[in-house]
Amino acid sequence: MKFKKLIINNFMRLKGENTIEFSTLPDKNVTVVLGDNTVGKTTLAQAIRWCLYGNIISTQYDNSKNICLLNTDILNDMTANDRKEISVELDIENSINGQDRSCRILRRAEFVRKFPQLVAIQKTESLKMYIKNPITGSEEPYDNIGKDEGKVDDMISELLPKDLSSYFLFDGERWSDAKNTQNDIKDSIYTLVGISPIRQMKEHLGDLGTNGRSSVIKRLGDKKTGSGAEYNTIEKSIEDYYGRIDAQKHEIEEAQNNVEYYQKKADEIKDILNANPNVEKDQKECEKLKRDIESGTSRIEKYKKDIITRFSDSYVYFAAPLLQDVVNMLDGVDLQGSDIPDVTDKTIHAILQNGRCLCGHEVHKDSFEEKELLKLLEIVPPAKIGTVVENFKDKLANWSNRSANLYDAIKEDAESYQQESDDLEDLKEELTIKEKKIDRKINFAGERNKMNSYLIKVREANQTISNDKAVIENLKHKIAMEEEKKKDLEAKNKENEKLDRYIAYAKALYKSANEIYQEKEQNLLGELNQIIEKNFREMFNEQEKYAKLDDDYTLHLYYRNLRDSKGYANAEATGLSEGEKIARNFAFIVSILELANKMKDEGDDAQAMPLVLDGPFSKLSDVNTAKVARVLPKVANQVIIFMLDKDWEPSGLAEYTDTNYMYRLEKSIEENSSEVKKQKEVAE
Amino acid sequence: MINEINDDLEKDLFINIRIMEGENLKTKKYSDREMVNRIMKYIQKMVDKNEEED
Repeated sequence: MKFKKLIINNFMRLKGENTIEFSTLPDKNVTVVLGDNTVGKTTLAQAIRWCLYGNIISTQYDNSKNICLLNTDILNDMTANDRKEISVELDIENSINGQDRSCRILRRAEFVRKFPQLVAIQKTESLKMYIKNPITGSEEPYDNIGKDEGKVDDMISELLPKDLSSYFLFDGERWSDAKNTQNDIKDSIYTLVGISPIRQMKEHLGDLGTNGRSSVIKRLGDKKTGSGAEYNTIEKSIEDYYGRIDAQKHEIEEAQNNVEYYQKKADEIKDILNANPNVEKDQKECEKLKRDIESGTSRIEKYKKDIITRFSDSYVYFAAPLLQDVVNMLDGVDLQGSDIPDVTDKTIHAILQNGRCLCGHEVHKDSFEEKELLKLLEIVPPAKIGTVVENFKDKLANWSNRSANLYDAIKEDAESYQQESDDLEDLKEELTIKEKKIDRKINFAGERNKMNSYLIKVREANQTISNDKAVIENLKHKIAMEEEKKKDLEAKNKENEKLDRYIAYAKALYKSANEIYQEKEQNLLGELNQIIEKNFREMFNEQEKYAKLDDDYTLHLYYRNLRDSKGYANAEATGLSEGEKIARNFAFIVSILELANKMKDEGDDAQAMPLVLDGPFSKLSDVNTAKVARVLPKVANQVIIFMLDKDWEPSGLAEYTDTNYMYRLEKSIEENSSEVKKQKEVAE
Repeated sequence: MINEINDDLEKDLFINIRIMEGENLKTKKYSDREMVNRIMKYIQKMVDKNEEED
C-alpha cells in the first residue's frame, strides 16, 4: 500500500489548493518536500494525519484546542459569520488479493468567522471514502454518518491502523516520550510484524478469561449437556420398570387362575345348591330343631335343679302342722318365771318417777329402794322371756308362709318340666322325620359358606388384577416419560458429538496458533535486536554503543566494552543527548519496518506501509543524516520526507528520488501562507 | 472417527480466522467476547458444511 496523491485546501499554513503526487516507483520510492523552517513542512504531516484520523499531533503546540485548522490568511479575509471550507484528500494505491482497490479519502470541515476576533469556529466536518471497483473501474462512495456512522473510520483503520501511525507518520519526539508504555510498544510491534492476529487467535480460541473460561474451546465445552451416566441411569430405570411390569403381569396371571379356580368351585357348589333348594331348607330346619332341642334340654335340666333345690328347704313344709301345736302350747305356758305377776317394766318406771312405792314408801335417788327397783326392772317382762317368745312366734309365722309357697313353686316347676319334656319329645320326633328326608352326607350350609368364601377369593383376585393393571399403566407412563428423556439425551448426545467435533477443530487450531505464536515470539526479540543493532551500527557508524530492545520492550543503549557497576553485563548508556535519542529511535523504527517487510515477504501478516517523516534529520549531523537516509528507501516500500534544504545534499536521497516527486514549500512574501511547488518548476 | 480432523478444513479455518483477527485488530470493531462468538459460529458453520458435503 502506498500514498499516491495529497490535495490540501486552506489547511493551516497552506492557502488554496496544494497538490503533492507521491512516488510509487519501486526503486526511486522517495518523495521529498523541501522547505525552510516555519514554511509548513509539519503542516503536510498534520494534513495526512487529520485526513486519516481527524486529529493532529499536538505535542508541538501548547494547547491543541486553540489550533485553528483554517488557514489564517483566509480567516483574515473573512467578515463576521463568513463560512469557509477546508479539505484534505489522500489518494491511496492499494490491492486486495491481487485486485486493484485503490481509494480516496476526503475529509472536509467548515468554519465560521467569529468577529472581530481572529477566531474561526468549526461548524461541520465530514469524511468520505471512495473505493475503486476492480471490475467496473468506477469509484464507490462510502459515508461516515447516518446509518453508516463510523464506517469510513473502520475502513481507514483496516488500511492504516491508528495504533501504528506513530511508525509510518514518524514523529521523532514520539519515541523519547515517556508517555508510551511498554505494552503499547509491544502491541504495536506485534501488529506490525504480524504476530498479533495469531496471538489474538490463540487468545480467543483457548486463553481468554481466567483459565480460558471465556474462550471458544471452553464455551463450546459448556454447551455440552447430558452424560453417559445419566443415559445409563434412564435405561436402567426403564429396564426396572419393564421388570416390574412383568412381575405385575405374572401376578395378574396367578390372580386370573385363582379367579377361574375359585369361580369354578363356587359355580359347582352353586349348581348343587340350585339343584337341591328344599334339602338345604330342610337342613336348615334340622339345624334349628337341634338348637331348639338343645335349649329345651337345658331348660328341663334347670327345672330339675330348681325342684331339687326347693326340696332341700322342704323341712319347713313338713314341719308346718307342728307349728300351730307349738304356738298353742306356748300360749298355755307361764312365761313370767320369777317375776312379780302383772308387774311390768312400766309399773317400775311409774314408781321411780313418782318417788313413792305402791305401798306408800318413799323412794329416794340412790337409795336402797331405788336400787332394788332397778334390779327388778331387769327381770320383769318384756326384758325377760317375753321377747324371745315373740321372736319365736314370728319365725313360726314365717315358716308357715314358706311352707305354703313351696308347694305352689314345686307345682309350677313340675308343670313346666312336664311341658318342656313334652315339647322336647315333639322336637326330637320332628328332627327324626326331617333327617330321614335329607341326604346327610352333604352339608349344604357348609357348602354355601364355602361357595361364599370362594366368591370372596374371586373378588379379591379380581381386585388384585385391577390393581395390577393400574400399576402396569402407571409403569408404562413412567417408561414413556423415561423414553422421552432418553430421546432428549440421545438428541443432546448427538449435539454433543457435534460439539466434540467443533471442539476438536478448535483445539487443533489453538495448538497450531500456539506453536506459531511461541515460535514467532521467541524469534522476534532476537531477530529484531539483530536488525536494530545492525541498523544502529550502519546508520551511526557506532562502535562504542549498541541499541537493544530489552525483554520488557524498551529500547536502551549499552556500552559494548563497559561492564555495569556490578561487573556483570554491559553498562547502559544514560543521559543521552537529543541526537542520540533520535538515532536510537530511528534505528528502532527502521528496524521494525525492515522486519515487517521481511516477514511480509515470507508470507506473514506483517504490514507494508509508507513511511512519512517530518524533519527527521534536523538534529543529526550531516554524516549521520547520510547514513540514516540511505537506509530508509531500502527498508520502507515508500518514503515521504519533509526536510530542510540543508539536509538534502547530505542525505544522499537524490539516488532514490525521481525529480518529478521533488517539491518545495514556498512562503508568500506578503502573507503567512505557503504553497507547494514542484522543485523542477521552481528551479526553472 | 467422530473427532477426526480434516486437515484441509483445519487449514482453511486457520487462515480465515487469522484474517478475521487481523481485520479486527485494525478496525477494533468487535470486542473479545464478540470475536469469540464469531469464531465459534464460524467453526461450527464450516464443520457442518464440510460434513454435509461429505
